[in-house]
Amino acid sequence: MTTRNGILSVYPALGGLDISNPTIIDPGSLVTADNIEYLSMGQRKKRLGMLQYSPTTSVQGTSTNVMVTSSSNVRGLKDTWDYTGSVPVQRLIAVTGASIFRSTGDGKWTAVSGTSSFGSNATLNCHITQADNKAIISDGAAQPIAYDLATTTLVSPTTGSIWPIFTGSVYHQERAWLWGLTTVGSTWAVHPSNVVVTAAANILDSTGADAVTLSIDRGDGDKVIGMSQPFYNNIYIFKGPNKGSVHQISGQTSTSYVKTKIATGAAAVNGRVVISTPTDIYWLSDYGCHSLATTIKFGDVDQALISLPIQNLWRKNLLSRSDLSNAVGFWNPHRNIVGWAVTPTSATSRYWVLVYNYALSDPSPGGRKFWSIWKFSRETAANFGITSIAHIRNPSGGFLSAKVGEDHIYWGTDRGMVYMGDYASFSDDGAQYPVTITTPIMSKFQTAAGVIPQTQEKTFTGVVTFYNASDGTAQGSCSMSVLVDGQNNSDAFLLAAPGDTLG
Amino acid sequence: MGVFTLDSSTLAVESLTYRESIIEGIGRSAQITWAQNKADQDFEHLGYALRFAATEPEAQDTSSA
Repeated sequence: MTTRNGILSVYPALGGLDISNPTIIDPGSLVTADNIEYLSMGQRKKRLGMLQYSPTTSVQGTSTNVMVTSSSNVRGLKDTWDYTGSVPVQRLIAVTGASIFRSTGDGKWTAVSGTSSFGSNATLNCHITQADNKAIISDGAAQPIAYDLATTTLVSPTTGSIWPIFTGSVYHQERAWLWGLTTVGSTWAVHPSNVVVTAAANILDSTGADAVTLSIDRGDGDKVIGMSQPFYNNIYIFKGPNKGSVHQISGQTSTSYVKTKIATGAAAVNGRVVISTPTDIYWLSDYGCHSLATTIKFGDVDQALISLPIQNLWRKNLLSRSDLSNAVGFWNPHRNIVGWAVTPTSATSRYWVLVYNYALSDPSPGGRKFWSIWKFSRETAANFGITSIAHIRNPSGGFLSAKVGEDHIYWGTDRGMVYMGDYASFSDDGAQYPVTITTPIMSKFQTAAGVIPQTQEKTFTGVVTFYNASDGTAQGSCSMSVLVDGQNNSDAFLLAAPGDTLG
Repeated sequence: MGVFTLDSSTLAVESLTYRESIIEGIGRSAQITWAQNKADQDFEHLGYALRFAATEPEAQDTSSA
């Protein structure tokens, strides 16, 4: 009967997370992919950890350096640079609670404003945009303000009238494009479908001769809910949250802008989920994750397909649909990923991150996608929620001096703290976190004698695990379990490097 | 690149690293999970192989489910 023996070899494993149905997907796919990232050949590697932004690593796991209180939301976070002199000076900015903070890079935060000077702790949809050597701070509720990066003081418009109250802004053609306008508390006669474009080279002038107000399909049931960064000389305006549409604005001057509606449906849930990269624009809607390049190439009907393998998160309400309006996205260029922090159903904080590796994935409909879910838990009993995300070049002011100049994702949280991601420690601020991968349920096998169908029993005799030995840290361990029709077999081993000597 | 010295340098990274685990189970399907929950420990999975043999081609009992 030896010809009836067989081996299913999935090496290298080239597949990502697919939670559609564990019994019918490819053996190279995963039905669980917790806290992993995919390397360049699809290897599944434990994601890197995080470290709190503090003067010393000895305070890991504590709340020593909170802004405001340990329950305050870091609503906004941004890496900005004063480049008015010959040498750029880095200015880290955070909006926490109702205050604006700055840091010189030493791991500490200093309040720029008084304790109740900007908005409220509960307004999470906060945006910080660098424009004209200023940081524009807005949240759609409070009167927007700018932080002058050269003078390190707060400034307000003095040319023309004050700004309208807006949610966010984009710097394009030396103008600030102000979107998410609200009439509540505003002295402006504005409409939620309008975008105000300031004068060129003066972002504080929103009413002068060179400023312009664009009307984006007023009365279509939506407001302007977000904007992309400049993308191949155009800019893209997202409307939502009810119907959804995407509009392309082209043109070089305020009198020559041309609006073209390029997509309908798939409304972005807020402006912080719109992620601009040099080659694509991604966003999160109430029913999936979307790519502008895929949408334009394959048509509106395929908008949702980059998230098709994880679509059950939406269809089965595994995500808190009501909290998607507070989701926040990021782009990490040196790990080739984009992602969104979301709240799992029945949870109260955004500690899941849906991570999409765009370099490995085939964006076309039906193409293989590489998704994973990162689950953050700084401490066992104190999961934190992500309230803002920024891509920051590590500062030189004293924080983690061995890593100065490296770009990292920084996580702003609902604990009044900021954490540097991609920290090569495999711990979340000193605490362990689990990594888990699970294959599909495999029932059909090929042998030299032919196919053994799903309906026939098999004797399972062994599992060979192929791995890469630990990478410069303590030797990793691994526990493996095999369920054969629900009966468990298990093994525990070290991910050791066997090596060999030559000679 | 570092210096490779005969008789002393290891070929760890260039070796095929694997774990052979013996299991016993009879059934129609199998599902494998790898996990780790340790601080400061790495984990990098490259793939797997599952050994099996066919048993009787026809079912002899009614399934319980």
